Amino acid sequence: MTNKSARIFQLNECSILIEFDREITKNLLYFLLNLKENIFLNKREHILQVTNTYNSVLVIYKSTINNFNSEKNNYFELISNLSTTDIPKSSTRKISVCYELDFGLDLEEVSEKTGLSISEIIKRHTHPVYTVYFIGFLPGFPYLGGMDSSLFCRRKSTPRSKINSGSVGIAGSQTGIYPSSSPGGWQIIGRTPLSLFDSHKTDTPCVLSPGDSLQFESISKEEFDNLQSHPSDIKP
Amino acid sequence: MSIYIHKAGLYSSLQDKGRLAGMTYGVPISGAMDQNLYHFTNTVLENPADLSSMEFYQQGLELEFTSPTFMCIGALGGDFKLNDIAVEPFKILKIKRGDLLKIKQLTRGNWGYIAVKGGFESERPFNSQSFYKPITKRQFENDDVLIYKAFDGESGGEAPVLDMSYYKTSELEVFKGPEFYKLNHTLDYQLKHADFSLSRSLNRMAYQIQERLANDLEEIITGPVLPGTVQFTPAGKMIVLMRDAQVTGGYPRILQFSEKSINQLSQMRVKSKFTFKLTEINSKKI
Repeated sequence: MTNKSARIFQLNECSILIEFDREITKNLLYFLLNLKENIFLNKREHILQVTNTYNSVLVIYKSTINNFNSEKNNYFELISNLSTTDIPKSSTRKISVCYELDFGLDLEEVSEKTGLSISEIIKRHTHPVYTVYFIGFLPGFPYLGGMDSSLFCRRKSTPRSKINSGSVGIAGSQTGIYPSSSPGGWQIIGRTPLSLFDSHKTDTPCVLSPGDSLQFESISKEEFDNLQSHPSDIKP
Repeated sequence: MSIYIHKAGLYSSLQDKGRLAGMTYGVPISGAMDQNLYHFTNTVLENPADLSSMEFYQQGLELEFTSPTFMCIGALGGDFKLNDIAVEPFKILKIKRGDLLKIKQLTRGNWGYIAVKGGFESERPFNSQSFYKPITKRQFENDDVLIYKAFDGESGGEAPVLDMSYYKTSELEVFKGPEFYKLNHTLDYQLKHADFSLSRSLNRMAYQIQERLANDLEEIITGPVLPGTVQFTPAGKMIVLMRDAQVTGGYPRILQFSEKSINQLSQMRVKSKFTFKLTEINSKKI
């Protein structure tokens, strides 16, 4: 990785933002995850947390950063010495989604906006293998990459005051799953019975992690009801 | 060994320094809105500065103590009564079983703190007792009970005095945010010289600024944000993210409040006027 694409910026007294001005790809994601791991290894004594998004890594220090320039040079050196990581082969997790209109509250609006029939929307949403880039917005909310561009659809002009947990939505080029009830402006096209976040499992509270692969599979309302009442039947 | 909450007031919650451990799972940092006041209140009781404390918003609390302890009210000004006798903030108050604390209202600031010797006991998901739904309950409600260990020893003597000048400024220190460089000259000038005021929209997630500025910036690819990040929405609103803010956001991040100015802003009331003091972050080197 060349240094040219990296911008290293002090965000506040205790945090440094490393941002890459590059196209968002799985390669960049795996590079960022590798960078995160290396920062943890090199600076474990001085930092509290390292997070990533599509093209950024945020490093939060234990105390005020007194020598930003030297930290910046360290990061440039680390980035230029870090080899591009091969994308590891991971198994693809299947996530059951019921796309019936009871749950797919905005399927008709998405159909109107994209010019695709509802059955075509479901076909194109269940076809790709998606990558989890990071978790943000709400506890356990996965930001997914890899959606079919014909499904790109603007957020609702007026956000809903409540979107039920498990709702699967589209916003622009992104698709994601609401892990808990929340207000939100995403176009809702279905719902999964899978619970994505459990705060009591503090070591692994999220079912999904950055780098995971997943694919949606369409289920009927009856299957949804069965899985919701017997969550142990949901494949791990 | 508890406080029985007869009247919970508005947005009362348990808070501490917050949690960073959950950020990679999308869990906000949370923690006391005014970390300065919260730390100071613990210091009065000779507690470690980061013990949990009850945070409340402006008014209407009635609390009954069921065991002896020492208690301190951290507030910039207000009407406080212990067993119907007026008491002052930042004093070490000896509490016995059955004592009743009534907080009618704060006369200055938004957020106050009630600390007891040794702190409160509660679950600590991701290493913090700070409330945040769905990690914990959202806020205290009437008839809730808050546990603490009874303390019947001696108090530490003279309480320290809070430096009130900390809160008397209307000039808030900010750094350039990651997208500041994209602003045109007019916006750059306005941010450095104009007066701003707080809108009615104030909560633990964000404080919105009343004035709008013309925004021609594009949205950014969703990126990291922190408490104190100022987001600039397409409608030209400036939103200052506070302690319960999401960990990522898609609006341009034009400014970043310093830790001190987050505390100062948290105590400013609706319609308060202020200016930004743009500071080079590296000039703060110690």
